[in-house]
Amino acid sequence: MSYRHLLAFFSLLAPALAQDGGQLYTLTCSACHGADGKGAANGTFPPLALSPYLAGEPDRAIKIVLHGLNGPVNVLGKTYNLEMPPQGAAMQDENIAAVLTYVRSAWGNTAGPVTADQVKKIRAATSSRSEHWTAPELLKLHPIQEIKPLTNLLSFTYTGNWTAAPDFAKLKPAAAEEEPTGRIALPKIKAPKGKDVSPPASGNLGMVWEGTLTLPTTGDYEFLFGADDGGSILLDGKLITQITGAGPLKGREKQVIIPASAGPHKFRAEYYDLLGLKALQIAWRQKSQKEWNFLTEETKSAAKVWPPIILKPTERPIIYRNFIEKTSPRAIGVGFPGEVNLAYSVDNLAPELIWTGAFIDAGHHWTDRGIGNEPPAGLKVVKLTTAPALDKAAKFRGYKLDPAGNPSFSVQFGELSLLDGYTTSTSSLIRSLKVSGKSSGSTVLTLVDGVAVTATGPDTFDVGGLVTLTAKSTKILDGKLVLPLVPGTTTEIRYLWK
Amino acid sequence: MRLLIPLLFTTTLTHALAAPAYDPHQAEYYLREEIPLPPGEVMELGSIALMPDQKVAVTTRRGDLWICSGAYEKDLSKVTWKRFAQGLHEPLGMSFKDGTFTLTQRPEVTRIRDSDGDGLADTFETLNNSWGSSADYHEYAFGSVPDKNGDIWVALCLTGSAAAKSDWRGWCMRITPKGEIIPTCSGLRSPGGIGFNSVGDTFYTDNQGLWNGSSSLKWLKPGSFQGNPTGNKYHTLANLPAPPEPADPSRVLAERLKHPEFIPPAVVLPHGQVGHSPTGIACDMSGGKFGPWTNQLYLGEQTYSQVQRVFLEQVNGLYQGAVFLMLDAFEAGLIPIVLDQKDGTLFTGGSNRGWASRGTKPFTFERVRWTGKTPFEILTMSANSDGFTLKFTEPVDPATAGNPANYAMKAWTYILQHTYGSPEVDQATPQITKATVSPDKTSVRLTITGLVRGHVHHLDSSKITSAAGQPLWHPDAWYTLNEIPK
Repeated sequence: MSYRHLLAFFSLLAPALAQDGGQLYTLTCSACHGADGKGAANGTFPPLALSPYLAGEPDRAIKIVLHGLNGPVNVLGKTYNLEMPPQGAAMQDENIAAVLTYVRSAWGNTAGPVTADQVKKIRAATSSRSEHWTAPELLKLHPIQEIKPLTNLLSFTYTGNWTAAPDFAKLKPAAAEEEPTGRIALPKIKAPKGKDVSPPASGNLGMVWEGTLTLPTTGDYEFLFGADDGGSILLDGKLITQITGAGPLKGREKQVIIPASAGPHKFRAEYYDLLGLKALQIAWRQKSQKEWNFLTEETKSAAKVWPPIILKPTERPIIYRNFIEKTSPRAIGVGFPGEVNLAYSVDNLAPELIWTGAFIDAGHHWTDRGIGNEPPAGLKVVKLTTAPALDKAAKFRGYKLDPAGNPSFSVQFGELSLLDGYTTSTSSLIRSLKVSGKSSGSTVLTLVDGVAVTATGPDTFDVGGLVTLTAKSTKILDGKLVLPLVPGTTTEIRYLWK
Repeated sequence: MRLLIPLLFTTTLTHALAAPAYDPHQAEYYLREEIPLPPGEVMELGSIALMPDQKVAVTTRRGDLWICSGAYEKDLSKVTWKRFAQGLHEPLGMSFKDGTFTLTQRPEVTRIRDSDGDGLADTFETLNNSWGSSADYHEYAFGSVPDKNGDIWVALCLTGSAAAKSDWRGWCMRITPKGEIIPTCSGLRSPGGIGFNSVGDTFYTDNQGLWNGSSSLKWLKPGSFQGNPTGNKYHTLANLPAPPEPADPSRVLAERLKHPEFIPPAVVLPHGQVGHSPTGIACDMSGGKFGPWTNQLYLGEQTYSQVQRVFLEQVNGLYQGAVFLMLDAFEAGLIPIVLDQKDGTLFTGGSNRGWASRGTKPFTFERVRWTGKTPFEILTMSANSDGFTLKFTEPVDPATAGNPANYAMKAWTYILQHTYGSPEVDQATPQITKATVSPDKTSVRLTITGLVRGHVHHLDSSKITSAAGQPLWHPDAWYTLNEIPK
């Protein structure tokens, strides 16, 4: 038997034993990770070139290929929220080894080859696994050497009693420390050597950090700064943003864009606490990038990982059908001109959420796969009801828009028809409930349930301290505000924000 | 004159860069053109519907419905767009009749019309919304155009494509014109498109993953089970018999012989060889306006940005047939494809948001027209008890096509299992012993020993030529041999 015949013989036994890693990569991986390993669609998908996930021991990468990866993953400073399908059932150990050997040595990657035996061992060790991996889970098992957000970082702690932002130049620090993690952190009350300094129980805390921030390219950079209570950010000695006064972090964040050159910059952050909680968040990103690079430990912020697309009605109301937080999956958002908004739950036949200010940030659902619920973008959100507002047998029939684009939702309950229409005037939502057909027995529609409702005058109610509701013929039943539905009537309900 | 040559050179170069032609011959047979989109709008197309007066409606993943005029004109630079509706929930299926759009949105089937004639939709009538929605991004709903009874077939993707967390996930439902809902088939995983063949039977494409060794085109025979038991539990909602629970791991053939309601994939699209992610379905009933492929199906392909061609036949009550590569190099991942049967224009649209594609643009709307020149191709491949008959689009060269050594065949199948995908397994090499050219030289009967019931049979005909000496445009065929004819 010649060598060639022998090969043919073996390929009959295991014809799927294609061991050309490059070919396998093209067939199985390149559609998403790109022929050049930089992530397909201009980096919409995670890069493999220079990815720390591929470096070092191959276990992490083998696990991802075997069982897939789901949810947010940060690769080279950018977060991706996609799903890598598991390949373990479709690819044999030899093929996984070949393709990983290829990607670990292509495009500037310098990790060593992977053997089928290594894949086999990990396959056996993870055989009971049926779910995808998540990045935090993998990183716990196989940490990646983190690049320090700031280098040469020093922290200075100040204590005292102040009622406004202190002038740090005039204060003497109570402690100065090196921060080898390179990350800005409020003290979890660390005592300097030999001293028992706990944070001032009644006094105030001030902190200053100085270090080096290295930026990748020359261009525009966005900085995010949030503090409870306030402070400043300085780059190369120049003030770039500042939060004054006192208040919570959320809702008072600053976002600024400044031009900066590639390379190292002197970075200084000043922070002060006046009263109550202490919190600090600082992050930067290249303009038009989705992902923030946090310099602080605290990263749970109002800062969004997708580019915001705030839907803003101009002449006509805008409809937004998607998954809106704190209402049901079948929600119809309506943003009216004049910053009055509602989310109508088709499942529960009610305007479950009403709010003022900005309507909704569609960037969440319109970026990548759009995973998750999006909360209203505005203020004074009131959740009017939490359960079906009508009998469960009632059916949603659709909606009509009047010539100005105002919606009326149509509901059928036996022989009873309900047209539930909405318009607005200044700071208020006006709801018109037109009932027709026949009613079998007494049918009531829930208007408010699950939020405090108190009568404040004839036909006037306070709802959750945020809205004044005015409507005739309503009554309070077991803490709910309800409206009996009487065929042939139209009831007007006004929701006026305080 | 001295200037002219460099100018010409520049022009040619620009063209070469603008059209990434994977296939240098495609333009001889099919003219693919991008239809300009409304400037500044993000037009990630999810469905396309033909309207009277050569208007074309499209929906976007962001929830807009736009109407395009001029999409049939020779000069596409003059197309105009009008937004008809907004605020729809990711529609994936649309038709238009008598002034009304019927749309499959993620949570419901809706009839939409403009009742006051101002050019904007104002009436959104929910025809049925009684399937579950759990706010999971993957719970897509792909809807057909109305069938001959007026019913819309809705293929409901699983939750996250691996679980069934809301009612009827993994099922195909029919919505009647009166708004009733009829649970019709179980066992679906992750549909990418739904449509009908020339006799009105319904098919959908299902994507590789759990219980799908490879992607495939599947026949939605009413009452059938399609192989993935994840959504089986919902049969109790309608007092239907429990769908089968296939053994794991097993093979499609073994399980469908145990469970007659398990209808095997009509045509398997071998993963990596015939794309990664099949989508929309269009049947060619144009009577030859798009080439000679009468009654065949075209399938969109998202990852590879292609259109494939499928020939179907029925053997022992099951559909089976062959898939051939056809059109390539679309600008983004394709989702909807629609063929205008009167005019022979194929409209395609798509997006690569969330799922990468070879086409590098984030979204696209394109049309394809046949140039009138027929490529030398295998027109049909049908099964015999002892092999296959190939019909060609033009006479073959009897010397090359009559030599059995000029064909190569491999066969394999996939593991039916609860894990993601499957390698190709149970490989076999059927032997082609005879190749008999018909007297008119337009068909060849291959006599083969070793056909394997249930296997994909890959035929490589790259060594044969037409009578004019041309090789085949696409020499590969993949035939899914569910049944071997007697």
